[in-house]
Amino acid sequence: MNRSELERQLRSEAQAMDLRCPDTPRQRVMRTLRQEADGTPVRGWWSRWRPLAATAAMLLVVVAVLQYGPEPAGEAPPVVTQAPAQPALELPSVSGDLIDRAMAEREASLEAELQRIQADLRRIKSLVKNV
Amino acid sequence: MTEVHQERELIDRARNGSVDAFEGLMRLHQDRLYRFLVVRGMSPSDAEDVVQEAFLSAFRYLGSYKTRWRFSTWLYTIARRIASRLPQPADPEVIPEMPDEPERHVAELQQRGALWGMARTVLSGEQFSALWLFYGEDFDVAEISRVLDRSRSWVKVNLHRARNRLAEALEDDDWGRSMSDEPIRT
Repeated sequence: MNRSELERQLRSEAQAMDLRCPDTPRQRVMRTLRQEADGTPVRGWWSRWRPLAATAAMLLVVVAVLQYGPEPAGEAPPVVTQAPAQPALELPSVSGDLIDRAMAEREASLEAELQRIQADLRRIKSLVKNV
Repeated sequence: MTEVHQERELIDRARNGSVDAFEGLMRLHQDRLYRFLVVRGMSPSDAEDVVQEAFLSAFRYLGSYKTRWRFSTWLYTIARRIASRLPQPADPEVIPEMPDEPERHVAELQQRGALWGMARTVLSGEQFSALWLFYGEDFDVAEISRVLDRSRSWVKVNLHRARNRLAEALEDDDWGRSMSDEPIRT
């Protein structure tokens, strides 16, 4: 068999292989596209809302149990009709001198810190100049 | 109206959102695409899935389709990429199983040509695809290069090798004798 014969044979055999695609893929594709075009959820509304519905149902059950559930066994606690009197909360008095002294100490420490930083800066500058 | 004009009109309408026009396109191309996938060795059920996925992708990305290529070239490129994600058969001689519809599968296998059956056993998957697209689908080298995501040189070389390999197999099979080295149509 020469090349032209081989080519002719390949073409004729390919044409003879008349495989038909079943309708299923086309039907599925069309159904999907039409549902998308209509704005209908392809997977069905229930599958989309199911997680939210399950969460809501679970929350309802929890609330219902808390609200109407059985009371714990044993003697019921006494009903408190009046809160016991609490002693008045008293803050220690702070004199103005103490505050002034604390502020002055803080100011002094900040001043000292600033001077230290400035001294460091001067040292760095001199080092840079020497370099 | 010729098939090309009909196809172009359907593409234009489908681009504007016509699902009916896209169904027309699918009717035009589904059989050939399905046949391409099955003769490559894919099981009919897998081929149906790939056809479905390929057309769905084609509809969604129809805006990116460039009309300088045939629609079938673009569609086959999509289908080949989808098919490449499926597990490949380890041995090309192994007939894919189809337990749910064995009668139809056997009938399809009987319809396959002997020469193509031999090609499947002696050629690599990509060589077979190139040969099929060239002789079975009448694609040119540029189109095959695009579908298989290979260079044009690769396609030419492998078409040549595929023919030679097939000729050798035919000689071994006492069927063919010799082949000339005519230049490949591009």
